[in-house]
Amino acid sequence: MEILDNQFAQEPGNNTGLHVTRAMRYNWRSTAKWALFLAIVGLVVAGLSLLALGTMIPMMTNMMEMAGNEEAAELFRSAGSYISIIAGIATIVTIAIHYLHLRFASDLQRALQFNDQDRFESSWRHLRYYFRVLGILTISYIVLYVFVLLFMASFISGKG
Amino acid sequence: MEDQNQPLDAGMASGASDPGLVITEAVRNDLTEIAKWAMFFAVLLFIILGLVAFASLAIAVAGGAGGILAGIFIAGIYGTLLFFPAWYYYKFATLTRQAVALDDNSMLDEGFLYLKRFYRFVGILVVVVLSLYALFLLIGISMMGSRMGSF
Repeated sequence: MEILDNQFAQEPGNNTGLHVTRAMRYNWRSTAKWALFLAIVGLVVAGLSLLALGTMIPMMTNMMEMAGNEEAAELFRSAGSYISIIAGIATIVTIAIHYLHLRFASDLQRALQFNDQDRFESSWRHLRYYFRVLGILTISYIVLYVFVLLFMASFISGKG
Repeated sequence: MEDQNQPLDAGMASGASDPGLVITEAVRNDLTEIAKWAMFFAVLLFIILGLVAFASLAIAVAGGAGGILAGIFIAGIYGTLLFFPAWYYYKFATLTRQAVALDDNSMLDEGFLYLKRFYRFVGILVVVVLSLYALFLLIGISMMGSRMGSF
């Protein structure tokens, strides 16, 4: 079986000049541990913000009504659904990002524990997706910031 | 029977091969893309670091004696928090890309060392932030309790 495995590993396209060393395994173990911790913290925070999202806007509307500020209560009522939808989408995207991170960490831990090649490949694939989603989101945020800045600049210059 | 009488770091040298897992072409492609994105984030963090340095310099110039202290404080805190992750990402990205391009295993070893350092730094930072949150929450609760007790 080991001979077959070695032959498979030496087939062109399956093996490269790089190989896994003990030092890499040692570093990956620590990396996976911290990545798992960060993913779990991220998922808990995202879950809490999803819970807060469902309660914050009705609570704020009620508070404004109780304080007799009908205008503010109406504003919260009308804008609340839009804010909820946008914040809800943002939270779902955050959960998806942390899930990819969680899969990277857990797959890497399993791969190291059981010498599981499939899990090993899956872990790096998930880290790749994690970086890709995070990178695309970051670029989108930067583009959005630039648009908002340009819009504000044109608005101010138009007023002036 | 396996020889257990070995130093703890036996096989930890960069050349020591591990027979269990294989770096396939798919993993290689994944690592190349991960390194590209890591470089993007490193550059972004360095740009933010530069902006923070510029802002703290502006505060120091505009704010007099207090401004200098505030500028040093901002530059120190944000500089430390931003520089290390940026540096670790930069090193991980450059070493991993070179390792994949040149088939250099020792570079790949070092690259993963920097990835580990990055995760450890961010992890410890998160632990510190969560601890501060818990501390402030406890202080807030105890202050509220003492106020209610005085009524």
